Amino acid sequence: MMNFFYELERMKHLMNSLLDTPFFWEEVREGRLNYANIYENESGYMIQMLGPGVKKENVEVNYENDLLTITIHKPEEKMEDVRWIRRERLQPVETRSYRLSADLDPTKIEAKLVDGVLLVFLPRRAQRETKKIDVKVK
Amino acid sequence: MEKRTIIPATDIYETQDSYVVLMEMPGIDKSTLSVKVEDDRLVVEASSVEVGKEWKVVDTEFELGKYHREFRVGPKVNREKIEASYEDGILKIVLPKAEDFKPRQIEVKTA
Repeated sequence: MMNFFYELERMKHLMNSLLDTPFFWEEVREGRLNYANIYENESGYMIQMLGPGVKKENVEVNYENDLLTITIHKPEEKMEDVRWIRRERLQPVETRSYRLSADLDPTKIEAKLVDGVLLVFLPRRAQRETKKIDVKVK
Repeated sequence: MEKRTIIPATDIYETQDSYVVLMEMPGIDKSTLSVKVEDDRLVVEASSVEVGKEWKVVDTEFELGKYHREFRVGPKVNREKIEASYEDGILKIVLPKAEDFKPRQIEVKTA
């Protein structure tokens, strides 16, 4: 038997993904901004993430055991004594991790926050010379 | 390629003296930002900064492009004094309430 509620949920997701602006804001508010674009050039990779309203102190970029973790904390906004008329903005709280390949140099990772856009640069290691080792066979 | 138009997510709240609009517009080119009042509409437009051509896309989960959104401005707003500021990817527009519509105590006259 078809599960009507399941189909309804699926439809909502589809509607949200088709439109530029989510059709069901309440649905999305429960979720969180969780998007990243990744770019590459000769010198390395760049991760681009959105954090509108986010300040430098709300962002954490950690590297440990080949794992790069980016956390964007919710910025504190003091909103007392106001009457909300419309609320569409999502919570920009999120953590995302990326496993880095060995050809990237973890000591040269850089992060930059410009107008609510977080850019993390992951430069490649300087080209290593290939060394030929003779294998002696006895 | 034609840039996609994004409707920025917006919060609006009311205080005693004004209406405040907060619009999420991360990564815009500030020279393209325009906030104007036309007839009874508040029109906001901007384009986002593009990633340099030397960067090849590996994975895309969101798109940036042109932002556009309009709101109707009622008679309760003092249009002469609308102010806008842009910080950390948020456009804040303060629309002060017209004097006539501010709460006030009405004196009761007795004969």
